[in-house]
Amino acid sequence: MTARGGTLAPERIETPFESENVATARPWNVVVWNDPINLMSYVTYVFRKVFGYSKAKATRLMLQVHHEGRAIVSSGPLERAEIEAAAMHHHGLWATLERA
Amino acid sequence: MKRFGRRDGQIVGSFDELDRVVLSAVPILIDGVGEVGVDPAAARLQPAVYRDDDARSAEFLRLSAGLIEDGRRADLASFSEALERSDDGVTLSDAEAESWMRVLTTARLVLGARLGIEEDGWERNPDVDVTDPRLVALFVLGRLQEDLVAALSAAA
Repeated sequence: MTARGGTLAPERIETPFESENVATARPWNVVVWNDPINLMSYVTYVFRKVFGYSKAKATRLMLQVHHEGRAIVSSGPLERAEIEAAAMHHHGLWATLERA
Repeated sequence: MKRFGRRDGQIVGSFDELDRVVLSAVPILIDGVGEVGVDPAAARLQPAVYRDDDARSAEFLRLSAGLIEDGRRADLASFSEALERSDDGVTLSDAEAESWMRVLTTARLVLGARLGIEEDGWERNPDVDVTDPRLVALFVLGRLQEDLVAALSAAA
């Protein structure tokens, strides 16, 4: 995989599932990482299907993953971000979560 | 020849002998994925979702296991059922075709992990062992996948 990017949240989250209620101002990013196996057309298809993105937006994000090694594909509350990350994993895409 | 196309609102696949041999091995391949730490394919199928927090990643895995594993099981059941009724080809609903797409992806990820493929451009590496059946399978499934995604992407 490619080198790690992004920044760490400055504070550790002790009780993430509870703290979300008071931390809605800071969303979570769903990050998809480049991998050498998944086809570009497939990654685009998955972004369109899972996030409902236009073909243009899905293609732009796919190319960002391909060229830059990673892209933030979605941002929102933790609960939704975790469901989206699980959907990425079900589709075989390499997704992680990080604080926006 | 394209392996998949769209006809009358459905996805129609047609396979040659090699396609059929590789497709028939897919369920065994996926069912045979071992434990994390033993089989490199296992780690690729359940990546750590919090890159700097193993405990939290494990908790996410526990909570999402039902969603992901049940989804993979349902996909593989759908794939196997359609493969069972196929001969030289198969006709799939869009939902079935999407299950096929994820199954082909999972199979390719397993093969890629076991082959130790970590960098883009491996398809053009002149040093690869083209007699390795896993690599042959990876290419065959990649071609099927490319045509399947194109057929699914075409308007219904």
